[in-house]
Amino acid sequence: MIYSRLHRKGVTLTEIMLALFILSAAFLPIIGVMSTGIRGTQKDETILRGVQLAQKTLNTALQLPFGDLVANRGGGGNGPWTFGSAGAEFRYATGSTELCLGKVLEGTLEYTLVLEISDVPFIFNLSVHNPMARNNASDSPALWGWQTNVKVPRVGEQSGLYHRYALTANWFDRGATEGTQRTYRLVSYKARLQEL
Amino acid sequence: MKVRRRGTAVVIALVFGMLLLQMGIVYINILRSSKPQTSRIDERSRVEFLANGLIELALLKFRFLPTDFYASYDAAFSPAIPVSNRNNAYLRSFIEDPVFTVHEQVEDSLLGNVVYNAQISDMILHTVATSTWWGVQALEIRATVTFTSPEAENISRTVTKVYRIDRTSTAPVN
Repeated sequence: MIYSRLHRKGVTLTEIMLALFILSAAFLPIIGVMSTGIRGTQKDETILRGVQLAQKTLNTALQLPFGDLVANRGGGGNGPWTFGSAGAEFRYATGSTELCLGKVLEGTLEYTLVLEISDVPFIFNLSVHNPMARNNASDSPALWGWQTNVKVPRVGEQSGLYHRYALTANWFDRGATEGTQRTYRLVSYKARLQEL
Repeated sequence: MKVRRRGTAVVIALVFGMLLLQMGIVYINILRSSKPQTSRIDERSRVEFLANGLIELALLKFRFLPTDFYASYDAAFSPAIPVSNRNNAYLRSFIEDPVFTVHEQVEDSLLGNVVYNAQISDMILHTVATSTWWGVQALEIRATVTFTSPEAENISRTVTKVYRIDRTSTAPVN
């Protein structure tokens, strides 16, 4: 029995191989894109870990009583006082709070956390009223004897009450010294509120 | 029969090609939107730390000079003063203190070089004790941070903190 090409059913091995080849060729870029995505996710994870570590550390430093860390460095002048620089480990604990600076291991990566504290002198500016004048015209604020642009303190600047905290986190993308070096910086301030 | 099948492969190849192209476009869009989202998380925490630090200074000023804050607040909002006589200029001068404006330039590898302009935007008293100004109150302090993101987008964020205040001693409790 002779079958013509017109009545042939099914596919040849060559056609299957060719189809497989085309499919594989099409999937190669897809796999490439997926692996790029996975690498990106891993990079994001190291960044998020670094950001979270920096946030946690700065939060801990800000929770410590005002001046505690600075007193650890002698406390004189306006600073800056640096903690954890050049990878030197710095640990400070009070009660349930523990601050770790310098080299910190987080998963497989090593993060270097450096905290710099400096004093920020300031002068408050406000309008001051006269209580006696207020008593005489209690329902007319315009007659309360206001003095505008009053400086507090009147002479010089107030120092030792407001500190700037700058935390820098450094790490490498892959391992301790491999990959791209990343830096994340956070800045905050703390005022001496406890004893006022 | 052969005539009817002619061109099917081209259609299948085109459909397949379109699907692949769509997948590629979707993936590129996902990549494009995911990077700013990551940097927004970093930015948000940076803004909050900065704003909270400035709010501490506002609270320090309030604790230093409570009488002047209350007097300026009364001048602006006291119900005992006729509305036509009220004046909020003194309260604004307390809040719009030059020391309450901070320009912080922060540079790192994640967000680049960004200048954050932070300032105290409001200080509001909430009277908790009914029918009296004396007693437990809440002091709401707002700080607004504006900056231009690395994507050249102007962003403004307001952070609010509320402190419980015992007016008799003017001592806020965290």
